[in-house]
Amino acid sequence: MTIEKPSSQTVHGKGPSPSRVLPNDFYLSFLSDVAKARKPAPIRSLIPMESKPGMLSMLAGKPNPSTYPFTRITMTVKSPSPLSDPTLTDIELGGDDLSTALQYSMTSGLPALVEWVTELAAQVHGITPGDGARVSMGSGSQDLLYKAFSALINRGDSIIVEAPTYPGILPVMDSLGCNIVEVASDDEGIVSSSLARLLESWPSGKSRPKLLYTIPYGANPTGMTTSLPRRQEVLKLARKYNFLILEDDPYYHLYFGSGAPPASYFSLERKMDGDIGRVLRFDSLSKILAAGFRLGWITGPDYLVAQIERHSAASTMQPPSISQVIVLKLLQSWGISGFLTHAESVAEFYRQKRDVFETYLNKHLSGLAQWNTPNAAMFYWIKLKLPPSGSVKCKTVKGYEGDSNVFIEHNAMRKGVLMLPGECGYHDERKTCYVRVSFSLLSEEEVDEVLRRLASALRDEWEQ
Amino acid sequence: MQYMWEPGMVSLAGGLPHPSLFPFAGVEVDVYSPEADLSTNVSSDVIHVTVPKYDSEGQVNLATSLQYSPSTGLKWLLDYAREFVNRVFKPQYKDFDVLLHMGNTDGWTKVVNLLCEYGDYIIVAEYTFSTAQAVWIPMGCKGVPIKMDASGMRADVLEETLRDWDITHPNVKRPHVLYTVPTGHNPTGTVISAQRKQEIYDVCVKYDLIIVEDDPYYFLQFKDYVPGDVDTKEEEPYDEAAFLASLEKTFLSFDTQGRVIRMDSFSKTLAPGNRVGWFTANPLFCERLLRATEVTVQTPSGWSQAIIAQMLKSWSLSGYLRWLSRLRLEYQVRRTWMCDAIAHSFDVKKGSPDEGLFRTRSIGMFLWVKVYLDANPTFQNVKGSSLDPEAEYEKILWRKLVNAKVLLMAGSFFTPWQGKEKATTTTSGREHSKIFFRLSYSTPTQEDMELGIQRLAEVFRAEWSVPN
Repeated sequence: MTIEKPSSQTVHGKGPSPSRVLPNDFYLSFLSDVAKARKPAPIRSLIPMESKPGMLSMLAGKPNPSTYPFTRITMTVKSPSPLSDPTLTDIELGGDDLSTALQYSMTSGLPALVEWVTELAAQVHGITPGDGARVSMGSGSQDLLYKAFSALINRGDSIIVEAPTYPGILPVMDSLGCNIVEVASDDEGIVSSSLARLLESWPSGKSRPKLLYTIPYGANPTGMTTSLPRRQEVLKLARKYNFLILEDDPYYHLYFGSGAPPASYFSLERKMDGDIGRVLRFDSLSKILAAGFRLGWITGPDYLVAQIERHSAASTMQPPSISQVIVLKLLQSWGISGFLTHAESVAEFYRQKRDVFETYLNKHLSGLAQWNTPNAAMFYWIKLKLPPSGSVKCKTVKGYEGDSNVFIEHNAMRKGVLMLPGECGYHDERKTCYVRVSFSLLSEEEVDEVLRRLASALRDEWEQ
Repeated sequence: MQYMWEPGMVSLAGGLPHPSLFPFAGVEVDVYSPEADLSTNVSSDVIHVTVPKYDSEGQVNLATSLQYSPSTGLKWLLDYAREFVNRVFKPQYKDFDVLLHMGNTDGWTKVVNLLCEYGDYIIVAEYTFSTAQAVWIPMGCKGVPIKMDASGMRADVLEETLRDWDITHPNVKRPHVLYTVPTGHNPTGTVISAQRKQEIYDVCVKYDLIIVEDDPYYFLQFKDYVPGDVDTKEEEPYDEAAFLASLEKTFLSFDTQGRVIRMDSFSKTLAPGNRVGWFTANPLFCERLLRATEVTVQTPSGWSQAIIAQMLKSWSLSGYLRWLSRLRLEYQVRRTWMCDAIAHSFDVKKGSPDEGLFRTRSIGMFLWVKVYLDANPTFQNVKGSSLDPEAEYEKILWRKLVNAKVLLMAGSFFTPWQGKEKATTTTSGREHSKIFFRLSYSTPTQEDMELGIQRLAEVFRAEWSVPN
């Protein structure tokens, strides 16, 4: 195979002492029954034997590469910062590189891509050889999350989740029968003191929560980023009460706050004295390059990663290798510094969109809504001022602040405003006056118009 | 997401990245023409297929295919799949639906999660695809093996098994899912004839089973093996209707009630790395499978979808069918090489299929070899002391083959899991003194096949103490 390895093999200093790394059998009590019952994939696990010198293989039903109708792929790619450098470059993919991309390949991803991504993880999150963790590619972090939950959760197991949380994860948790325990979050992210209280007062007969699921950067849907002090507290609690942290971090590179970006849980685990091996990171290319690749990766303890791979080996087989090799060629052409430059320009793009959105929020919605200003990703979590009665048709609950879902359906949408009702972020779909809005796609004129319409719809609510 | 496209709607709802940030300006793919003769040098017979970044007429483009998109799959591929199903399979009910998946095993995983619960029993053939059962074994499910003959799963045994279920399995829920690889069966290479399919379908109607048709080798249908036949040229001028008529009917073609979930894949017909295929099923199942897809893989790679869609568009459906008619000849000749190699190294007797020596109608990518151990000295020795001498000797023989640098799949991976109590040859009711190997002829060169079979023969001669 002729795909190059990344050229920079920098030395990152000594890794942590091996005694800090949690051993494999530590994870046995976390594995679900299904994960424990999974065996290595029967055919895939024998494939490495094909590479033994002189071996003649009649092992697998792999199609013959001479039958692939694709002979060459040529992509035209932009520079890492297209606004300042509009050069377009053609990258060609043919011969062995393309054959490899088109054939069945390793469940963990094309080795050269895994190597490149590992180098990125080393520079950004401090992974070192021997710290017990490795990188494995997947078909999008949504699928990797599903497989991680599947590997860890037996029906009835308790997990800790911020309220509200990413709507797309709730059906996964629900289908596996998680007992969801909520923890509060505010403008600094997860409220670690609430988490501490929750754990201290945990009923003694009840099994402790296995994991915390959290989106530490630009949390979907609140848009908030967990501060460094809060992260340190959460990590200490994870060590004290022995739960895993599933760090869902697709917006890590979309941070545009004024302060230094707080270290990821994965890297904090290494920086702070104490055990290493409770953090499983989920990265995605969807918001940095494009969503249609369906490529993401996990970085975490080898043993847990292997369980997730066993699941993949009996389902998706491997991440789409055509996406992988296209990404690999692009990343090799850019290098890590080019990739980080590109990520910065993406973050800057969203920062500008946020500024525009903030301006028009202030112009149109002052007095009609409340919000915290996000410093990462693409969402605002807005509390609409809705009257307790009026056109909102629903049961009245004491202290009840309105139902944004009814407001959207019966009012806002008729004025041509589409938003995500806040109830989507809660596992019990409780009625709330919050909405999640995204500023990623709209032009300035569209923002002005849509927020004008929203303000008008809200005023209508109060006039009734 | 469906409200986003309503006229006058301004959406703040989706968390979609901005397409101007996608770092790709376009992609061009060189592909063979559908008439390409793969056995000769084909590099000159190439079509240039382009996928632009944007397209104002809603044709295949990168801005759409690289964005978050509906989990059904992109419209271009779905429309294509529907047209393909209508033209080739002709389902007997009109409101079937299609939905993309990431390859048939991904599809099967979703179906199992849809239809099966912990501990369910699943009807499978006497030998079944090893990876497919790795999907349901961890869920505590068990296989119900149904005997096969030269035409695949036997309908009479299926009927008997279901009829007597309450006697043989008191207080156990009757199976409601039947899993089959009907064309170029993995691992045995058999084809279920049209008549047999109708018989099986009728049993499934009677006992209310869903048929899951996993059919990735469907287009690798060969004529009977003729020693020395290595011709890859077509016999008659190509005719699309004749080609389609020559193909075995699918279970989907017999489906009047919407009880077949069919899985098609581009893995063996285009390339596996794309991870793209599709379900054909009734709308209720498709909707449930869609919900499962949305929170797991979401949709196949936009790259794969865009490239395949654009290529198939430039080929047209007729072009793709032309391609498929040529493709099977490439694998047919490989079956000939493999069978010829065996004929060179072994004495070949032609017998009835039950003698299991050779199935001339074996198609797809695999030969299923049955090995008789009665005259094998090592096996006879092991018989006295082992709880499962067949399993033990299979390991010994497999290891000897590996040491001789020949790598095959051992047959025991393909025996259906029936639970711990039925894990040995005796307790599972399998034939004594027989073991199996699956040989794949899809990738080795002719020389390597010859050499591999020679090595196999040497090991066998040694193991059976046959003089050279």
